[in-house]
Amino acid sequence: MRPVTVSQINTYIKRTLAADPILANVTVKGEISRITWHSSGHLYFTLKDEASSISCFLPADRVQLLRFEPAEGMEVLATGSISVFEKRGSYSLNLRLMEPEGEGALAIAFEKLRVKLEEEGLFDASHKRPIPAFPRLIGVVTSPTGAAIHDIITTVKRRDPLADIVLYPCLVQGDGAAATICEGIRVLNEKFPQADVLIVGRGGGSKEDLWCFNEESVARAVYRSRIPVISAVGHEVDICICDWAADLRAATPTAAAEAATPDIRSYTDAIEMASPSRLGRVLQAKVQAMEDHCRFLAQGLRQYTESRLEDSSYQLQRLKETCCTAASQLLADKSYALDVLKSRIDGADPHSILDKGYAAARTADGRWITDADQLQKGDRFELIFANGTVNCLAEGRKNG
Amino acid sequence: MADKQEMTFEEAFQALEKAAEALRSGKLGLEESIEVYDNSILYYQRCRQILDGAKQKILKYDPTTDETEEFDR
Repeated sequence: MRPVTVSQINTYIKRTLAADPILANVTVKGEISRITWHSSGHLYFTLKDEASSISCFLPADRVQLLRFEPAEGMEVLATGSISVFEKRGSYSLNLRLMEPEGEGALAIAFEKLRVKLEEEGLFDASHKRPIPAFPRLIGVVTSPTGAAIHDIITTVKRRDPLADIVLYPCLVQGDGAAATICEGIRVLNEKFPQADVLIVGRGGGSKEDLWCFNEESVARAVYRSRIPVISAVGHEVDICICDWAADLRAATPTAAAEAATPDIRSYTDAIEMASPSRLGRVLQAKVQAMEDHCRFLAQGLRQYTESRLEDSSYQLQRLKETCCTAASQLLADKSYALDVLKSRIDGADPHSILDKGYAAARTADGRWITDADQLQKGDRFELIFANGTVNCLAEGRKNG
Repeated sequence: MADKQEMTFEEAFQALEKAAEALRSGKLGLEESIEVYDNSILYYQRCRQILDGAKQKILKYDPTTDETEEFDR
């Protein structure tokens, strides 16, 4: 056999391996080591077991679809084809899919993602928003055929006839489920921004079934939602990454529907307790109480007024008597003073002298004559007596 | 207070509760009591109107047509 070139042998190996149907689609079980994230988004690592190892390559577009965070030491099932790198005469496993293998690997993947998102702040309490008490529209992201939507609708109908529901039908397990869940959260935010709350979840299932709710993309979509999110995945015991990212975690879809709605029956009871007839009785009782109080006050006022009136009447009587006494006294005093004055005046009355026989003389023009010199011979004058007046003529004068 | 006919159930309910509590406390004067009572009737009627008129809708969004339809399980 004649010699061949290095290129020729590598090309031949490549062709031979490519023609092998097993190597074109093989799933390899192994442990991840020497993991390298390339800046382009591609993932390079080595899969190994106790005795051997193989180089692996996962292109960036496939990395996006990974349902877990690969980590050193993690057991995985990696599916792809063997590809030869002719330039270096090496081969590697070109991957299309990779799944964590076994409970241990799932637990590692879960824990690793949880820590990463927690450090990023996706689970911060400060980001949690309250769930509105009276939702008018509840968005639901779940399967249209699962138990979850049935439980949610039944519960909402039973508790709150005021809340409408809009369902975004998505896959809740298997490949592509996470992408449809993310899309559902995004679309409900965009098309129904008036929604008060979203319920994202599914009914119970195996750990693998529920795994899509542990995916990073779902956690991020929940975190980004402007509408508050209630996460409801599986049963009581199932806790997933989505639960931590949500504003509220409900143990089951039924519990989520209960958390999203008020129990209207308790409100209708309270409304009837405040019906016009009931509150009317309260008001009536108040009016009655005020009437009673008014009557009581009026009675008191009347009693008070009457007693005051009696007092005043007595005082008035006393005052009147005092006044009368004082007035009589004053009258007597004045009367006496008047008598005294009268007697004095009587003494000064010129008539009293006339009564004694004296007369007064007055000129014709009315002046009193008190001096003989006031009269000349021939003057006419009057002499006034007590009982009359005499016209006189002065005939002459006698001195003396 | 917004127009009582425009109130949401939550607003009307809370206003009704508040009115009932105020009336029952007995701390209001007579005129205020009557005013609160008159308002409570409107809140009550609004609550009942919303409850009695509730027509719950259960819809499904269809991403392929961008339309919602009645969800029939």
